[in-house]
Amino acid sequence: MSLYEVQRLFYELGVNRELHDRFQADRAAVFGGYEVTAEERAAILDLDVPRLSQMGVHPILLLQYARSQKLPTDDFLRMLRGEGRGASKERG
Amino acid sequence: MTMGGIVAGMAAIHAPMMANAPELAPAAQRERVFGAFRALGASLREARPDLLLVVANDHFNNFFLDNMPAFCLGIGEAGEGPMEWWMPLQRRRIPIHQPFARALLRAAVAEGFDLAFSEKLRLDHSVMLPLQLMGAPDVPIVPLLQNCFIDPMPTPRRCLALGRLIRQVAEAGPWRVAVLGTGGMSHWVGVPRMCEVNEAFDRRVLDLISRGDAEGLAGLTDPEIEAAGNGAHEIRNWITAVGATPGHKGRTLAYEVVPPWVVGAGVVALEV
Repeated sequence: MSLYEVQRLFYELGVNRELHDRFQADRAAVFGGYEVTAEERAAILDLDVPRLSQMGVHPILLLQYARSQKLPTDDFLRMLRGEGRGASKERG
Repeated sequence: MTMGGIVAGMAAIHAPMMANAPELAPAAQRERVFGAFRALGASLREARPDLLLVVANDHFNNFFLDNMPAFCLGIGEAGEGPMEWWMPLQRRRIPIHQPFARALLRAAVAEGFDLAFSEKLRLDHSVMLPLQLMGAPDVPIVPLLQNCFIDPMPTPRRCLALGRLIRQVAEAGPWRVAVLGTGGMSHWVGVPRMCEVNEAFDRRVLDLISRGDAEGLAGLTDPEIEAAGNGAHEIRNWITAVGATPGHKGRTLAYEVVPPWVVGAGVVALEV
């Protein structure tokens, strides 16, 4: 677990437009700067909202990341409530 | 003798949906809330302030978990915002009233409030959105960001005391100071209960303010506030603004339960 690093990535995507653009262009490429586990990396890349929430990502950072990935709020909430595609992808 | 003091006091929500998707609220509600914002703007212009102190909070747009101040005062030359590029608001650079900011910082430290300070705050929607909805006059601001999202947060009692100190500094100086607290009321952000509203909590806060019951506001506990949502903690910004007014008292200009805006939408004019 490296929750701090997951959250640092989300924070920096919010405040650093250049990083955000780079991430959008090639999402895998920015991970070198963050010490996240393979599981965390997968949850980030899959936009696995329930898993990220379960890991303890702060709700504001989670919402901001979802917004930055153009996930509509309704879908975000459905996933968070376990009603959407996120729940079906939940990992053990 | 000085001519300074608190010349206007306001508290209002800063829900991003008011900018992102205002049309999701029924037209009548939207008009009542936006009309109340415009009324605040009109009274602010009449008050002819030299500066507007905006008590707001960061949303991980300045501070992260590596360094999280309870209170941070903006003392640089200017602030720019909103920094959220996805928000359809006009980007502006607003000068900071440095003489008042410095006077407040020095007085705060002398009185036991060791405020953090920043010469380069990013202004987010918590500052910029209310100003835009109010049609606020073009006066310098002083941003004061309070931690309203990361436990432990400053207590409401501490916020009230900081508000009282702001008033002391205003009254000791030559400047006409307006104060605006933004955020709240009940709402949940980024959690499954998002889009719920706790009207009972909101009405209770509005009632405490209408009666000038500062002790009631100071005594709000974290569990009581949390029952109105993780976003309700922003009510601390209102409490600081209330503390800066002489009677700790105000009048509700609008209150609407607006689930599509994810918020209990309150707008309050404080007595000065």
